[in-house]
Amino acid sequence: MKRVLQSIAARSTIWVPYFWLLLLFLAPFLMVVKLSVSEPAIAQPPYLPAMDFWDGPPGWWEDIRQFSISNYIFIMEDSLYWKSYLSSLRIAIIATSLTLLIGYPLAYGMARAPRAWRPTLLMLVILPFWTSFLIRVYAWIGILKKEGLLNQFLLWLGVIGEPLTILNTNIAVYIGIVYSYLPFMVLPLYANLEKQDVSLLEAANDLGCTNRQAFWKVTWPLSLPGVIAGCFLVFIPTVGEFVIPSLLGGSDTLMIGRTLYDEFFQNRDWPVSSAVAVILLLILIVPIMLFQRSEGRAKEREQ
Amino acid sequence: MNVKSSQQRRAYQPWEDAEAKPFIEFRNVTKRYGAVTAVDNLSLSIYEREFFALLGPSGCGKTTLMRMLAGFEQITEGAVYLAGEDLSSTPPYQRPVNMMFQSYALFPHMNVEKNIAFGLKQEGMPKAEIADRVAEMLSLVKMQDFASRKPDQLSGGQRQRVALARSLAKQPKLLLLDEPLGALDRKLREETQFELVDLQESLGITFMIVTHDQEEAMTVADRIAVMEHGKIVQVDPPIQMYERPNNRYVADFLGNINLVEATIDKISNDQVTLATPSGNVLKVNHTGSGSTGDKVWMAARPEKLLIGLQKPGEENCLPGEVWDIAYLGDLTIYKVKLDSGDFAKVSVLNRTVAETRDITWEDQVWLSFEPDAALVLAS
Repeated sequence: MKRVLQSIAARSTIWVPYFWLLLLFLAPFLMVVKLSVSEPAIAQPPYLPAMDFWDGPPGWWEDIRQFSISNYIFIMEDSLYWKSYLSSLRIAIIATSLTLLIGYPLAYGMARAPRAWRPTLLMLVILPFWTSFLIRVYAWIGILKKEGLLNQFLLWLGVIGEPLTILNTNIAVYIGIVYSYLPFMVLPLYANLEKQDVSLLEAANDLGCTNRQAFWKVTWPLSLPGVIAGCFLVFIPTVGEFVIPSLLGGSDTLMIGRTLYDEFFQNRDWPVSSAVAVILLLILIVPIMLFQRSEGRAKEREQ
Repeated sequence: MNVKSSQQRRAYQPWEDAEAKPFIEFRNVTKRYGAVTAVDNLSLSIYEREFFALLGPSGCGKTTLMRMLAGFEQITEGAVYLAGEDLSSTPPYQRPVNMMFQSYALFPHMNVEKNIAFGLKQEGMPKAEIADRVAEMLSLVKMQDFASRKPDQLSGGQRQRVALARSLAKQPKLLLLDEPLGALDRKLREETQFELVDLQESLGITFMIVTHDQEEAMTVADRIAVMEHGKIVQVDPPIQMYERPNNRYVADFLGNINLVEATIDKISNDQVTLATPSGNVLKVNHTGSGSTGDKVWMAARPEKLLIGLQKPGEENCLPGEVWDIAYLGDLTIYKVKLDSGDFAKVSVLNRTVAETRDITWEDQVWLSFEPDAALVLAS
């Protein structure tokens, strides 16, 4: 009896994360999916059918029969939406590449720094998290605006004759994204690079590689898991990013997060914005699943 | 490839030949890390086709010395010459030297074949030749069946073989081995030591091995350099090193040795007469250094001492009491407390099958030795 209880207890620890996912991911997601197949209405809540739990199965069935995919068709037909998706993906890809370009040397430098410095350097990377994300993005407005710190500095240096327009352009969005998401790139890369055995580089050196060749033949391929993890951590939230494009971007900065927000709060069209969210999720999840499957297969082939 | 016969090998002693040119030469080499001197004004010559061992405790500078040859350490003062050329300004990737790393440093993202081919590809060797050389190397280390495995799918011994094959693939003039067998278990290590010797003989490449294991050094090397605090204490073939150590440090580092304090009483042509403080007379056929009246150490290896219950003669006898006995199967080691209060170890080969031995704990015994079985070392 005691054994049975113990085995149930042991299994229940495995169930904790599943339960967590069920409660905090799957349930809300199903609610969003349900919303996306509803119709907008001037009502409280602003959609039909409202689906009252107390209607019982016959009432639920009645509600389900009212579901339609008209919102999805609407999104497909209106160029605003797919343009937003494409623009979001483009901005996310460029921003992720920039973050990698800046984050990799940073992580590399940290991993090769004297052991005693590393905790401090790591702390410095994490430190910005101690301030609110929103406040940090607002601070960038102060830096990037026409009479902001950056322009004043460049004018003082004499590099430019008149202030540059950076705020409310895509450049400001890139700056904001790279700044905000840099730690998510640096941390997995650092974790990977720090683990790498320095004697591998010496071995490459010994076998005829210059330092640069040794980097590209040994360090880089071995750091790919870190690169991929970092890129996912930056890319995924960036695609749906709302705060940065709306605070730093211009009226022509088209990102799906903003479109979704406008649909939800300006148009009060919850069903359409839910459909936008569902499609966004599919766009993000499908490539990741395909990638993981190909990785798994490659691993199997090796063994 | 040049195959030396064992006959030739025994005669191969270039260090005895005044005409022979050293292949590797350290000239007054010093290496400092800040205030720490790792290698201290060291000079050393190593000859072609030699199997040379650097032996010493950790931190004695042996690894630093080897890494200088590979090019991983900058020399603070002095210079290293390889085949007459100053290596100082040659980067590691241009030296005709390859190294087998202590951790093996196999590239985890490449399979065995690619690991071995790495240096050859870097050299720009044609593909067909690379394939031939890799196959040759794989058969050399008997790893043909594992060509497509990744390092993490190999055992420690297999990894060691791949690392060896990779470092030999470029046919270096000099192979450096940094504690190459440290990660293997004892049996495998002993087998591999002999394989290394055979390999070195058949390839005719100069090998330099760094080790802290004296048995390993004695098994594989033509000559051994014993190091301490960044200096070389003695360079000699294993036999001389063991039988004629220059000083107490070497005597103690290589195997066991018993030391008895004594005063030089008389020096004749080839014999020294010593007197111990308790009045025992010791005659030793090794003059060592020192003159009459000097305080010296009489040194004798445990296997060169005899132990008995009766006093065998008047000279070269030391009385004592059996303090401890260690039965090792092939040997029995007696720890004897001498009348001076020092302990001496005597090892006796167990020549007969017997469950009990004559000598037991707390027996009063006599240790004795032949005049040519001991040494005189300066105090």
